[in-house]
Amino acid sequence: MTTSQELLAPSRGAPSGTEAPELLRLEGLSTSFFTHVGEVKALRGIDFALREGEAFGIVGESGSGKSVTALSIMGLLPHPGRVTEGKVLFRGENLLGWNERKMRCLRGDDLAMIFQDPMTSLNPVFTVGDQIVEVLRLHRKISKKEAWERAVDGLRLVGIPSPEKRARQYPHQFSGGMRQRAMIAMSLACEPSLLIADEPTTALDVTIQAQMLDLMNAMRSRIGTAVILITHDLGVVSEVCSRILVMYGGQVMEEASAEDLFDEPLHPYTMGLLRALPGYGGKKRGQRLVPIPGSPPDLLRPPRGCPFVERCPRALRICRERPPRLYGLPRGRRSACWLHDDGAPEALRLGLRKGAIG
Amino acid sequence: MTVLGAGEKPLIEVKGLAKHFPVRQAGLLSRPRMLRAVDGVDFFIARGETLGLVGESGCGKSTTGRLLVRLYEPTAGQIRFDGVDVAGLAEREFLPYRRRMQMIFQDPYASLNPRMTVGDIVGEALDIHGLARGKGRLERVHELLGRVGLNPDHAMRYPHEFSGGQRQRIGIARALAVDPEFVICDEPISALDVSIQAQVVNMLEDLREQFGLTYLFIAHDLSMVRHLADRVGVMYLGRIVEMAPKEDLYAHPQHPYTQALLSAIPVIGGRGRGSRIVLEGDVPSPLDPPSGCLFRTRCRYAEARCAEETPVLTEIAPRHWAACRRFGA
Ligand SMILES: Nc1ncnc2c1ncn2[C@@H]1O[C@H](COP(=O)(O)OP(=O)(O)OP(=O)(O)O)[C@@H](O)[C@H]1O
Ligand SMILES: Nc1ncnc2c1ncn2[C@@H]1O[C@H](COP(=O)(O)OP(=O)(O)O)[C@@H](O)[C@H]1O
Ligand code: SF4
Ligand code: SF4
Ligand SMILES: [Mg+2]
Ligand SMILES: [Mg+2]
Repeated sequence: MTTSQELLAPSRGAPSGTEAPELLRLEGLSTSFFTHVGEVKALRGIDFALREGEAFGIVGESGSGKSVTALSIMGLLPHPGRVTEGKVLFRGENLLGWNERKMRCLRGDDLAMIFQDPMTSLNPVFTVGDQIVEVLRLHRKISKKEAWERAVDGLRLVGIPSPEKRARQYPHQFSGGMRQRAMIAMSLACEPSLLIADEPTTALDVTIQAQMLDLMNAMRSRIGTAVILITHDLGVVSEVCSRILVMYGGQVMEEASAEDLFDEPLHPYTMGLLRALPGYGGKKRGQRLVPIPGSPPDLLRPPRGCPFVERCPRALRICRERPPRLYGLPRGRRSACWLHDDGAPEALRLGLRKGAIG
Repeated sequence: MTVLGAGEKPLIEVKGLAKHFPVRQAGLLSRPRMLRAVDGVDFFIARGETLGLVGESGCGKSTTGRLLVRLYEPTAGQIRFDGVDVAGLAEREFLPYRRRMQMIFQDPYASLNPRMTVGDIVGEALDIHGLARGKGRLERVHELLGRVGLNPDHAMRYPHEFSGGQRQRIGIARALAVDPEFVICDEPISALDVSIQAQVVNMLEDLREQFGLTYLFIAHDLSMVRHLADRVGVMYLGRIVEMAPKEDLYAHPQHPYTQALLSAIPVIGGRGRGSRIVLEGDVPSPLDPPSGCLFRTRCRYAEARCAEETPVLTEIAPRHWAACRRFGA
């Protein structure tokens, strides 16, 4: 058995040095909700990719499209939502072409998701142990007894005390933090290659959140599961993820390694988000925060150009007219802003201090 | 920052404040058990000062705030406002004090009546306290909306037409309508996005400056509290376990709970750091709190004595109070 000491040892994000093979790639993914007031364009051309074992973060304010991205990947979009364009390539296969039966086999097995509210994943009328057994037996040809032992092991692994006893209890007999752990145990029962966690700690106190973040780090280094961690909390992604994608208004604004993003944000939206935080960067205690004026765009009528244009202190005329492309920048970074373009006025140009624009 | 001068009275002074809720449990003894939501809390707030109140969910922060404005009747204790114990006043005698203390709520969606226009939401308090009528009322409403960064046109609209940040501004305008001296902000920014949080926080700071407001600022975002407060109190299971000027509290937390709470804050650039104190388990139920020190079930320094004696708040450094036997209490 693994001691909690080992489990809680710090882990280091993606396996260093050698590049692991690619696991998931989104290509031009667009998703809309066809509501009675019109088409809500929740996602407009999302591109990103992650490798096996990677800890990938998605951040953005509410309504930026984080959850819709996750649900689109999982094939769990609620009515009246529909993917209108693009591909979701999982190990090179486009999941959007798969039927529901095939998707159901994949979900909970190689591809798992956890939600903000653990009760959306846990069924109140079955014991926690039985629920994990059911997931295991659905995807693995193993005996009931073996599945039960594995379920108990799983609960032990996520740090639930006396797991033999707890496995026989119902979700309501668990505290909030323990439910969250049970949900993680269930989602990891089949040792998936990818776990998508949508705001898994948002409803939790910081002390319980710290337990969860440590647990996710530990499980990742143990099972080698890749994680997409979705949150609006920049501190939370920073504690877990090695690479971060910043979304806004249904589009990708910026992508960079965690170190680079916080060290030197390149997109005006990322800069604004960080400046709004107390105590970020060189901000002295007591110094005023720098808010981003205004509020996010209405995706019923998304702006024609850059989605951030209404709130951007650096906007050019072209920003209103045409959306910028995602510019590839040094150090594997990407950023969608006209100020990276060769044609942008020299004095306003945004680029890395350390390198030229690629 | 305000420090109490010699002989000066604080604006708010709370002594032995308690609120026990009766909770009936199905199938058990018919006599209700007592949930000790707030259980013997002492603090003061000087005029113009901002006191931050932090702690895990359910530790009694909101209940404390609600007791101060008498949304709840206290089970025990004194609440002195400007020298007068308002806890014992009859409803009618309390009315003038109610005008002087206002509350801003966490949920900007639930706290505004969806069927009232913004103008009426803000104007309602003026009517209750008979502060303005007719044209004067309208002018005052427009002035208040301007003060929180909204415009006069907004008076005719309904809450659902506004974003979260704008709704929170409406709530603040409503609280300001009666020229309060003391404002209790119960998680006023928790429901808002980071970019909008900064807008609201800056506004609270400006209003404090302009009108010399005194705040009780309740929040679970410890970094925002650090930004906004002068002094901070840390609650656990209905009690204050540590209270200190913020520089002191954040730089030298003394109570084991405060230490764990602060070290749990996720920090930018904190990936894989090994130094965090991770608390085991959850907060015990306030229906069945531990004997002795309430924190002992999760404390890494707990020993036998902690189960027997309840530590009391002790001044361990100038203006720095903590309740733990390690400080001789
Ligand atoms: N009206 C009520 N009846 C019974 N119990 C209550 C009532 N209001 C609060 N409580 C209980 O009192 C305790 C303290 O609650 P309170 O709302 O003050 O917590 P809090 O510190 O504000 O938490 P949060 O951070 O979640 O807002 C909790 O156990 C809560 O369930
Ligand atoms: N069921 C739905 N019906 C209509 N619009 C929706 C639905 N779910 C999400 N949206 C819209 O899609 C956009 C992105 O939402 P979401 O992905 O939930 O954002 P977040 O980044 O906060 O997770 C928002 O404009 C939201 O209003
Ligand atoms: S493209 Fe224009 S509006 Fe958008 S972030 Fe860049 S400068 Fe600002
Ligand atoms: S009194 Fe004992 S249990 Fe309580 S905080 Fe101090 S050391 Fe920990
Ligand atoms: Mg979401
Ligand atoms: Mg509360």
